[in-house]
Amino acid sequence: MGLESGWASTLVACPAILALLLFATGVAAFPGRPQSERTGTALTRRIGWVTRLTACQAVAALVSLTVWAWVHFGRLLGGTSLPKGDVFVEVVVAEQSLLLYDGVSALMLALVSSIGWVICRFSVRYLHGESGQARYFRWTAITIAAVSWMVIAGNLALFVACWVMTSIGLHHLLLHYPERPAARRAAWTIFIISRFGDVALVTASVVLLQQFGTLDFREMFTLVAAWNADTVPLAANVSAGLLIVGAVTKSAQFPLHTWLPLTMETPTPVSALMHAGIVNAGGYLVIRASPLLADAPESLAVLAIFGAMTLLYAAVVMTTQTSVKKRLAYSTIAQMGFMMLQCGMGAFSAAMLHILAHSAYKAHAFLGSGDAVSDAARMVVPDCGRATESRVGRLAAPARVLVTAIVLVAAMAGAFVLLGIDIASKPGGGLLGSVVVLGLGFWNLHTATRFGPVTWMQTMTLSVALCLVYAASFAVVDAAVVDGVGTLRTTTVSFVLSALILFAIIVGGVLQVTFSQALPTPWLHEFRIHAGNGFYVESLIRRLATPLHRDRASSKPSLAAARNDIRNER
Amino acid sequence: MLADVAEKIAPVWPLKDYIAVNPFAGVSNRKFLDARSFLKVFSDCETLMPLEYYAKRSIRHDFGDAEILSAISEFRYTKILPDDSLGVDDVIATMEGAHVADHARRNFDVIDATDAASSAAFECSTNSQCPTNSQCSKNSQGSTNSRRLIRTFAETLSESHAIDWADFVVDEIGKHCAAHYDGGQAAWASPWKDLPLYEFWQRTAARDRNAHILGLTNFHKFVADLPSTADAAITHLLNRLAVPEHLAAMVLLCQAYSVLGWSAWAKYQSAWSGDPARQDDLAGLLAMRLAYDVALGERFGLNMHWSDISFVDAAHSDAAVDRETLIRLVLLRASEISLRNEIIASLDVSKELPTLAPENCDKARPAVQMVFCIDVRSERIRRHLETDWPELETFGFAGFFGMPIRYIPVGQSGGTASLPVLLQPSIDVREGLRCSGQPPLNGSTHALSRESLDDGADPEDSIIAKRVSIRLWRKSWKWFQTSVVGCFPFVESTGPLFAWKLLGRSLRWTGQTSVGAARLDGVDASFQSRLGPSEETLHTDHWPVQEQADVAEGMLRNLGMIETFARLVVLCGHASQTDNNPLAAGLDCGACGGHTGEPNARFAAMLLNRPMVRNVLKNRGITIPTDCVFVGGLHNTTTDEVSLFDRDHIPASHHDDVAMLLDRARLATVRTRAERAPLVGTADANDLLRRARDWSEVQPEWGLAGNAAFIVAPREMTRHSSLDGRSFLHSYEHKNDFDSSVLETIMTAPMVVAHWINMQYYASTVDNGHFGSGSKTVHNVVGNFGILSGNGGDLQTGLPLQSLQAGGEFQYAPMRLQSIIAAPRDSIQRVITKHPLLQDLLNGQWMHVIAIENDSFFQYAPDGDWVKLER
Repeated sequence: MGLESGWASTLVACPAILALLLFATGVAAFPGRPQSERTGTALTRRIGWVTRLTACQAVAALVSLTVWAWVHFGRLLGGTSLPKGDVFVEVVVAEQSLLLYDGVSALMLALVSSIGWVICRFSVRYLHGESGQARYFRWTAITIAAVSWMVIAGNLALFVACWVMTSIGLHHLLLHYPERPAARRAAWTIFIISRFGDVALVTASVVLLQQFGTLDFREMFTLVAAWNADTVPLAANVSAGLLIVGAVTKSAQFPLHTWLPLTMETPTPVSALMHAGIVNAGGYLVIRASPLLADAPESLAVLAIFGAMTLLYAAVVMTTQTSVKKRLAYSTIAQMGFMMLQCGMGAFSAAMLHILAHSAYKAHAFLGSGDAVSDAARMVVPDCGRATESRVGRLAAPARVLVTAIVLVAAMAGAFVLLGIDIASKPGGGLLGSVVVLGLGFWNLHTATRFGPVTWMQTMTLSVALCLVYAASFAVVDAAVVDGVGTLRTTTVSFVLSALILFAIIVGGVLQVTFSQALPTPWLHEFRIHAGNGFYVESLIRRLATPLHRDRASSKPSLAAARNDIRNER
Repeated sequence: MLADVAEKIAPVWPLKDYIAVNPFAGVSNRKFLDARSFLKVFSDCETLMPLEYYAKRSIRHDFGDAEILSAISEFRYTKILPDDSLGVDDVIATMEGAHVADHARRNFDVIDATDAASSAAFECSTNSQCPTNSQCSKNSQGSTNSRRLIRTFAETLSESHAIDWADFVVDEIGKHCAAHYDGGQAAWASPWKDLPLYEFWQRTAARDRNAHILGLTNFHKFVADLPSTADAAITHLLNRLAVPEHLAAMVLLCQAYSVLGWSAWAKYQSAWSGDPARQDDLAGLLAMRLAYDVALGERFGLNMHWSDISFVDAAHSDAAVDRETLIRLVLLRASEISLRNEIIASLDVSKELPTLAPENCDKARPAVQMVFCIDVRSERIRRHLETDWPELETFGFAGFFGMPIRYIPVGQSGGTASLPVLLQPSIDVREGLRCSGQPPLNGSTHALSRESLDDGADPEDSIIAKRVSIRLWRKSWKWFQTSVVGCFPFVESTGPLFAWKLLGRSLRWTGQTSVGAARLDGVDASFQSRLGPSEETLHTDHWPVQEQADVAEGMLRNLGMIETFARLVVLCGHASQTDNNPLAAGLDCGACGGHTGEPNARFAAMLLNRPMVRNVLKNRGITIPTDCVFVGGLHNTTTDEVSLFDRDHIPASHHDDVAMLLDRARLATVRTRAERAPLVGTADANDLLRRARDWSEVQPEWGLAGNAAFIVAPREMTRHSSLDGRSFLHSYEHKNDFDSSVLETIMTAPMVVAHWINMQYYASTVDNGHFGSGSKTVHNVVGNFGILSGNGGDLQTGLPLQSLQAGGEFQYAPMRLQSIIAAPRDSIQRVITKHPLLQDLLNGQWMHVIAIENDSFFQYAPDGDWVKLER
C-alpha cells in the first residue's frame, strides 16, 4: 500500500534532496579550472563540505530505511488487524512518479549512501596533496549523487538518465591519471561498452512506452500483473531482452569484463566505489525491473547462462592472480556473474542480498588492500616442533566427505526450516542453497586435510553458524523486497539449467581441489598459465581493435604532444 | 661480463624488511657527473633536479648569490669547471630564464583544462605525471637525451607501433616474475616456482600465448628453442643480435635498465637472499629481457648497426658536459653550501678547545643517559628531552646498538636479521617470555630457570599452541574467502561483518596498526609485556661470557660511553606506527634491517645488566657502577611517544628515576609533536596520533625526509643547536679514540648507511619514475613482497611521492649528504685512504666530508685536499 501522508514523503525527500545538494556541490565547489586545483585551506574546506554532505545523506538514508522497515515489518508481523501488502512511498510530480521508495530502493539507497560516505571520508587523506584532488571530489560527488538518484528513481526515464550520468562520472574518475596508457584503455573500453548499454536501455524505454504508455515503474508493474502467461506480447520479450543487455554491459559480464581488471590505474577509492557501487547497477536494474522480466523466462535463462559462465571463468582466473588488486578485480567479476546467475534464475531477493553483502566486503577489501603485507605476517604458522599437531585428521577421506556433507546439508536445511523458508517455492532456491553448501563443503574438506582436526572442528562449527546467518539474512532481505520484485515461474528449463550450472560449479570446485594438491598433470599446468592470462580475452580484443603499425605522431592530439615535450624538457 | 653488469644494478628488499638502498651504488665508483653521462648512454635516468626547481628555491632565499659564487669557485678549484667559463650572472640568468618559461607553461596549462594535472608538473619533476618507469623513459626519448646511444628494440618500436611494445615487455616480465616469486597471493601457484627464474620462465613462456596473440607471432616457439640455461641463452641471443664484444655489457645494461625494478629484485635474489638456487636469477632476467627484444627485432625486421655506435667508455666520460647540466650541478652545490654554512654556524665548537686529558674534566654524573638511533627523527625528541632536563644526557648510535642479532619469533625455526645489511648476524636471539619479578641485578643464572613462571605448563608452549591454532584458522579463512566455489557463500554470509568493519575503520574505532599486529598472536594479556628477547641466549653454555663481554665492550667503546654511567641508561630503539601501509617497514629502523629496534634495545640492556659481563668489562677497563641499570626503550616516530620495556626488571631503588624520566619524556613528546605538526600541515598536534591509526593516511610521518647531514661529534657541540630533524647524529669523542678505530667504524658503517638513505631520497626525488615508486594511490601489492604501480608492469623500488612532497612542495630537499666530523683531518684522511669505497664516494662527490679541528672547519676536496671554511 502506498504511504501518502506528508511525513512519508519527507522520509524519501530528505536523502534525495541531500543527494541533489551533493550533485550541486560537486559541480559548483570544484570548478574544473587548473588554478583552483591547488591544494589549500579553501580546497580542504570544500572537501569537508562534500564529505559531511555524504555523511548526512548516509544518516538520512539509514533513518529512512529504519522507519520504512519499522512500518513494513510492523505490518508483516502485526497480525491481521492491518492489511498486508507492500509498503512504499511514491513522490509524484506532475502526475509522473519521480521517486519510488520501497524495499528494493530503501536497501539500495542506504547501501549507496553509506559507501559514498566511506569513500569520501577515505579520500580526504588518501588523495591529500594530489594536484587532482579537487577534480576527483567533483566527479566522486557527481557519481555518488547520480547513483543515489538512480536507485530511487520512480520511472525508467529518470533511471536511464542517472545511469548515463553515473557512467560519465565513472569515466572521469577512471581518467584521474589521464597520462597513464592503461587507464585510458580501460576508460575508453568501458565508455564504448556503456554506450551500447545506453542504446539498449533507451530502445527498451521506447518499446515499453509504446507498450504501456508510461514509464512509471509502479504503473508498469500493475499493468504487467494483469497479464497471464498466454497473453505476453512479443514486445515485452524484446524490451526484457534489451534491459538485460543493458544490465550485462554494466556489470562486467564475460566477455565484456576486460576493462575491469585494467582499472587499477586509478586511485584505490575509485576502485572501491566502482566495485562496491557502480558495477552493481546492472544487477539492480534487473531486480528493479524484475516484474517486467518475469514474463520473459528465455531472456532470463540466457542471463543465467552468461552469469554462470562469468562466475566460473572469473573464479578460476582469480586464483591465479598475483597482485592484490587484480585478484580483487577478478573476484568482483565472479561475484557479478553469481549475481546475474541469481537474477537469471529469478532469485531476485537472493541477488539483492548478494549486492548488499558483496558491496560491503569489496569496499573494505579494496580500501584495506594495503594490509596485504601485514596480513601475510599474520598467517605465518609457527613451524617449531613443540606444539605442532598431526596435520591430517583421523578420518579417512571418504568418511570426511560423508561427515561434512551430512552436517552441512542438515545445517542448511535446518536453518531454512527453522526460519520458515520454503526453499522449493523460491525460484532457483535449490541451486543457490546447494552453492552455499558446496562452498562450505569444499572449505571444510580443504581444512580437514590441510589444517588438522582442531581447525576442522572450528570450521565445521562456523559453517553451521554461517548457514544460519545466511538463511536469516536471506529471510530478512526477502521479506523486505519480495513485494517489489517479480516472480518467475519455475519451469522444466530452469530445472535442467540449475542442474547443468550446479555440475559446472562442482567441476570448478574439484579443479581447485586438484590443483591444491599439486599433482603433476601437464595439461593442468598449461591450463593454469592460460588462466593466469585471463584466457587472453583482453589481449584478443586489444589485438583486434588495434592495427600493429600506426603513425603515432599524426594520431596524437597536438596539445598532448606539446605537453609531453614540456615534461621532457625538465 | 655478467658480473660487471650485475654490479651496476642496485637491489631492492622485500616489503617486510624494506630498507634504504642507494640506487646509484653500482655507479658510485664514477664521479657524480660521469655516472650521469654513463647512465644516459643506455637509459633515460636523471640525476639532477631541473632548473625550475632551483629557481623556486632561490626565490624563497634558500640560497643566494654568495652560495652560487662559492659553488663556482669550488668547482674551479676542483677543475670541474674550467676557469672563467661560468659566472654567477650566467647561472642566475639561466635559472631565471627557466623560471619565466615555466610561468609561460603554467599559463599554457590554464588554457588546457582537460589535463589539469600537468600544470603541477613543473612543481616537482617527479609528479604523478610520470608514475611508471616505462612512461618516463618513453616520454623522455629524443631531444632530451641526446647521449642515448643504445636503445631496446621495444622502445624503438613503441614510437611507430600502436601497441606499446616497451610497456608490453615490461608487463610480460612483471607477470612472469610475479608468478615466480609470489609469496601467497595466488591460491593456484605455479608448480615451477622452485626452479631458477630462467628455467621457470622458459617453461611458462613456451606455453603462454599472450605475446603470440598480441602480434609477436610464435614467441612461445621462439622461447622453447632457446638454450636451457640463462648464461647460454644470453650468449646465444647476443650472437643472434651480432653484438660486438665491447658493447655486450652496455647492451645488457640497457636491457636491465628498461625493467629496472624487476632487475633490482632479481639482483636481490641473486646476491642477498642467500638461496643458492636463485643466484642466477639476475642472469635469468637479462636473458628473458633480451629474448623479447631479439624476438621483436626478428619479427619486425629491425637491425642494429653496431658499427655506428662509436662508444668508448673512458672517452665518453671525459666528454664535455653540457652547460645546462653544469649549471644544475652548481645550483645543487649552492643549496648544499647554504645548508652547510647554516649548520656549522650553529655548532658550538668552543667545547672542543680544552683538549685536556679525560680524567681532568670531571663531569657531573647525569641523572639519566639515553641512547638513541642516529636516525634524523631522533634529533627532535633528543633536543626536547635535554632542553627540559639538563641532567639528562643523550647519545646517538646506530639503532641496532651494536647487537648483531638474528631475532627468532616464538615457535619459529628461522628469524629475521635485525642489523644493518652491511653486517652478518652472529647471535641467534630467541623471542620468549622473560621471567618476572626477579630483578636481574641481584639475580644470577638461577633467575633464568622457568620454574617460577607457572605451575607446570610451559607458557611458551601454550603460546605456540594458541598461535598455531589462530594462524591456521586465518589461513583456512583466507582459503575460504578466495576459493573457487567458497567465495560466493563467503561473501553472502559474512557481508554484514565487513559493513561493521568499514564503519569501525572509517570512524577509526578499530584498525590494524603495524605495531605488534602479529607479534602478540596467542599471547595472554598478562604475558604481553614479558614477550621479548629470551634470556636463554645469555646462558654461558651457549655463549661464553668472554664473548658476551666482547659484544658489550664493542658497543660501549663505539658509543663512547666508558667512564660516566648514570643510574639509569635507556637504550631507545625506534619504530613507526601506521595502518594499511605496505611500505610500513620503510619507516622503521634501517639499522635494524627495516624492523623495529625493540629486540636489539632490550637485548642490549639485558646483556649490559649481567653481573658476569660487568665483571669482565671491569677487567677490561670499563667500570659500570652497581647502581647503574640499563633499560630498553622505544621511540614511536609517528606519535613521538617513548616507552620502556621490562619495567618489572628494574629494581625498586630505581623506580623514582623511571617515574621521573617518563614524566619528562611525556613533556618532550608533547613538544616534539608541536614542532612536527606544522610540517605535516596541521595546527593540531593530536592529528599526529590520528595519522598513526588512520587507514586512509598516506603521510603518516615524514620518515627521514629531512636528512641532509651526518654529524659525528660529542653531543655538547650540537646540544644547543636546533638541527630541525635534518641531521643524523652520531656521538663521538675523538680524544678517547686513540687509534681512530672507532672513527673508522663510524665512517665505514653508519656513515655509509646514512649515505644510502640520503641517496635513496635523492634518487627518488630527482627521478621518481626510475628510482621511486610513484603515487601511493595506485599502489598494488604484488606477491606480498613488492609494489606495482597500477595494473602491473615494473616493480616499484623507491620512495612514493607522498613520502617526498605534499601539494607539489617538496618536503625533502635533494642534497648529497654532508658529513661533519669532529676529528683532526689526519685521522679522517687515514680512514679515507684505507678504504677505496670512501675515496670513490668523496672524490666522486657523492657525499661531502667536513672536519672540525680545534675550532675550525675544513672541507674535504678530492684527493685529500682540505680547504678551510670561513664561518
